[in-house]
Amino acid sequence: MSLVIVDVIGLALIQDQGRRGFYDIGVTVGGAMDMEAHNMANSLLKNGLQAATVELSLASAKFRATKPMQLCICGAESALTVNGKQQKLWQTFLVGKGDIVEIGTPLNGCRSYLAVAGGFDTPEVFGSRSIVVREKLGGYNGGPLKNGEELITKASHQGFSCSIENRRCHDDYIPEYSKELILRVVLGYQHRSFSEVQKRIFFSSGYEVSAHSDRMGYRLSGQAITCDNYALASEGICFGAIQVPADGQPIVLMRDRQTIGGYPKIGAVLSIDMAKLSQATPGCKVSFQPITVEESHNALHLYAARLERSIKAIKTL
Amino acid sequence: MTDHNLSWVVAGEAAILVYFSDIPSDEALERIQQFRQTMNRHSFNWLMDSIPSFTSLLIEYDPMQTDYLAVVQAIKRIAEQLVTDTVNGADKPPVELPVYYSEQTGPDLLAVASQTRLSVEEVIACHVNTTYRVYAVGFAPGFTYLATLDKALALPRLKTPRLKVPKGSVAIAEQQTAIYPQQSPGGWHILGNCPLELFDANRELPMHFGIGDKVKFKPISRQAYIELGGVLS
Repeated sequence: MSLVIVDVIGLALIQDQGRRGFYDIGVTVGGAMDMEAHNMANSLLKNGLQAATVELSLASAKFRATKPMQLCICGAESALTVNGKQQKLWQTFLVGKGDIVEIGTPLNGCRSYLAVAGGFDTPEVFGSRSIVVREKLGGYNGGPLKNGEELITKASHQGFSCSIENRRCHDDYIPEYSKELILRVVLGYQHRSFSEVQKRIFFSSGYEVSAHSDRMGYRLSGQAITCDNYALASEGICFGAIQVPADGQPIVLMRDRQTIGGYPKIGAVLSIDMAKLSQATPGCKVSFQPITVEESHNALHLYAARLERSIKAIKTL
Repeated sequence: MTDHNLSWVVAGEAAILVYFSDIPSDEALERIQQFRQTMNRHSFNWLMDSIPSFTSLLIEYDPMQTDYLAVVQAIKRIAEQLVTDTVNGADKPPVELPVYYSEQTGPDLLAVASQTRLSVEEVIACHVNTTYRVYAVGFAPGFTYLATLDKALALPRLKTPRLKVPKGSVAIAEQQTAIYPQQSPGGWHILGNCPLELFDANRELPMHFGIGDKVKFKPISRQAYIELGGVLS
């Protein structure tokens, strides 16, 4: 079984949970930028957590199914059709042999996740199918998905029959992607090298997502902040770290970040908020709110409970 | 916080950065290696991975399995254990890497000679005579930061980085040297090329040497370079 990419405009990648355990040879994690949407698409199809999806970033795409299969798309608000007939996001649907699935450019948000029952079976490198273009890892050639490529799908554990049920995410748990975000930041790294005045400026100013934002880093523009010390030996960079180079414009480091770097960092954005930032497009407004590591753990536990409720609330159609 | 000559800071919701020294040194390198090996032997269920670098180790944990204070306690316990542990492989012989030093494979060789007021032969000899150690791996998969380069060759990075540095390029910047495992952009001064496949994701062992290992360069002729699979543009 496979899904053929008939036409794609914009960035299309295969993503999963990412690579773990290869930091010492300089290999980054990668993985779905909006893990929440990626996971929900898989959950609706009853896929395991490791199943790979197609991540579309500000892209439109057309696919053709070579066999009957069950699909689901979660993420950015966009027009979805099957053979020209409108279809809902955040809900599984069946397609037959030769059916054409079309996803339009996002009307709101940035990234969509196309999942298939069983998951996509593209080549695995270092335990993950994620494509990290900068590292030339994953996919068929280490690069983005291209027209004509055939994405083999794994056999679904449910098998396939026309009596298969479709499932939908409860409306209460479908996120709305806002153009104004407040990102919670765990103060850390070199935050003591930023004076109280500089920290106040940082946490009271609004920043804008610049056009130079990608899977490696989101570059923000706004009020510049300065650090007392820029002479650092390169050190490990965690997901969400906010690096402040000498020009004072913060960069939030995303899934494809370099593993080590030498710019001062004021802390790291809470992972829950990183999913929201991943849906932000250039021009979106961002502001920051400081939290302690204990507060971040409280938030993570509450979020885990919410995810559990969202899975229980899935409706069978 | 400090303890046992270590200090640590919060990095994020799931990461703690442990510092072993203010400046890079062989001693710090060994202590970081030792700490990482001891920590990995514990097989903690919360340990996701860790990133060793010049003076620090970033420890990533799963906050659904543990919490910040518990990880700090583990860090302190490991620090106490270190006194009795030894580093695996600290006395391994250096890995010898063949390099074809030439104007063709090292487009900055002449410029480096003129900027350092040395002859080309002296630049090569100076680069070859040091046994380096891998202080960090990063920038790209398999990119090893080797130190410490002789002060006589220390130059700042190129003002304008090259968009394409050929795969295998052996280059220097400040008191470091490195080999580009794949074609990539880069701002270091290129002296020559190493024809060996340094990083291969499809190999069982993607890299033949890593952090803490010793590395020496060996000059080879044009013919030997080609026989080893070297490419001349």
